[in-house]
Amino acid sequence: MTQNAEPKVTLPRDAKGKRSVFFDDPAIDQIMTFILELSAEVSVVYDRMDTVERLLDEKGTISRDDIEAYRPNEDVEAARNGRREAYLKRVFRMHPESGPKD
Amino acid sequence: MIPLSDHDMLAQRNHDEESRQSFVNDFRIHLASNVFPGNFPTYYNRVLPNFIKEKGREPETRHEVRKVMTHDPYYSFWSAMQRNSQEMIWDSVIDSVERQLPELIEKSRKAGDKGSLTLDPDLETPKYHVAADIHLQPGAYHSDQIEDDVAAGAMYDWGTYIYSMGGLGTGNNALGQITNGFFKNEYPDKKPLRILDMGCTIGGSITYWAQQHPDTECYAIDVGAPVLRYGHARAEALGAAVHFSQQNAEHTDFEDESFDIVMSHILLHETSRTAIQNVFDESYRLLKPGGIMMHMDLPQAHGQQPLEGFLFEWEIYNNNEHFFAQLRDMDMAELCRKAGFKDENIHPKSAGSFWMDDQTPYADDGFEFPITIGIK
Repeated sequence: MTQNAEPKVTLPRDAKGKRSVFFDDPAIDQIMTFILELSAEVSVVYDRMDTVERLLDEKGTISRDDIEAYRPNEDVEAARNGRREAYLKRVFRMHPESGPKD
Repeated sequence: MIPLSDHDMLAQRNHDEESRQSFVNDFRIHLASNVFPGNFPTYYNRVLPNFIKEKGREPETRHEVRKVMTHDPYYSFWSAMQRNSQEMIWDSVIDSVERQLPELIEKSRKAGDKGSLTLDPDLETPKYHVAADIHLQPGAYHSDQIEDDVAAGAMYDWGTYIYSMGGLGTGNNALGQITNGFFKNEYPDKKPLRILDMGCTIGGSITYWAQQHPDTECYAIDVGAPVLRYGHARAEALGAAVHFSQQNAEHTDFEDESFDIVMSHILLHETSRTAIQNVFDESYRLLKPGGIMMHMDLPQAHGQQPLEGFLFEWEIYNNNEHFFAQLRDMDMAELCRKAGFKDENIHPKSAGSFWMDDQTPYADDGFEFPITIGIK
């Protein structure tokens, strides 16, 4: 990255418009956001650890720059996709939807 | 996820941003493949029997299905996750854009001049655009946070790609491939000299057309300045000549009968009941005699079963696509007639069944984009 020529800008983070409420208790809507964002961060940490392990396997010793510069090749990304798929299925295991007709 | 093809304006992701975007992409695939389908047994095994028990009949419309399905816990959890996934798209792209914004602005200022960029700071952004941020993109497509801002465009490029789970293609131009494929199949002898894409955002579609038709003068309009600045710089980076200008598709400053094709790619459902007729009127005015209007949008309600229709409308209520609720039942041919097209020159077609340039159909689940054709 080159030096910034412009002052730093803070971009908006929230979309304008009424947010849907999906549950009778809106606290559950808020908790869903916490859980989902947290699950994304766990996945990011997993990928980062995977990067560290792969680089250590390859080079024996690594720097932070090595980690930042690392990008998964096609095989690694395929392995990570598979890992994420299993992770998502496990973490977001839905209760059977075809249960008793109540 | 397979990343977008790199170009000079594309925001570069650091290690964790790349990983976070891949997670959101994969999460959306998981929702579509493993969670969304559960809405069907939920409906047939639980919601429908309860409805029948209470009313003595099945629901007749998608609106009746909505009233009961939105209280079902399975549907609620899927919906809550789907909504969050949409918010997480933007959450996962903003950081990299924010960090690189000064550099991206500088690049856009130095963009080439194969095409052009004409902005109108006095253009009034239509109410239907400012009422809510379309697709939950914070700041929407029109807000400048800084002079010569391109952030909305930079966010849109990655964001729409993740939204589509890669379905827009690594060139982010699948919709342009579809209309171009449609046009080539339908009108093989036509050689358009001058074409216009309305509501172009970052110009993914028109830039593709410009690459495929180097001898055609390509114009593109949108109401959003930051997406146009980005779109122009992106097109130049890709070596395509496109003339971008900041205009409302309802009333443009182009001359009468000056285009061979006037088209749009999923613009109509972002407008309003008044605006959509204005867009058709304006399309008619701009077309040369024999010119072709092609407005591609999302499927309408007719022919859909109540449950299917209800599920299809999720984005109306949960992803700021408000006018789509009305467009679902509108008579597109009537809009054409009122604009001046003769009955025999109005053709409701499907664009989705056409092959893309890599010889694959757009969707393997039978999804087809309807396209409203009017020939002047």
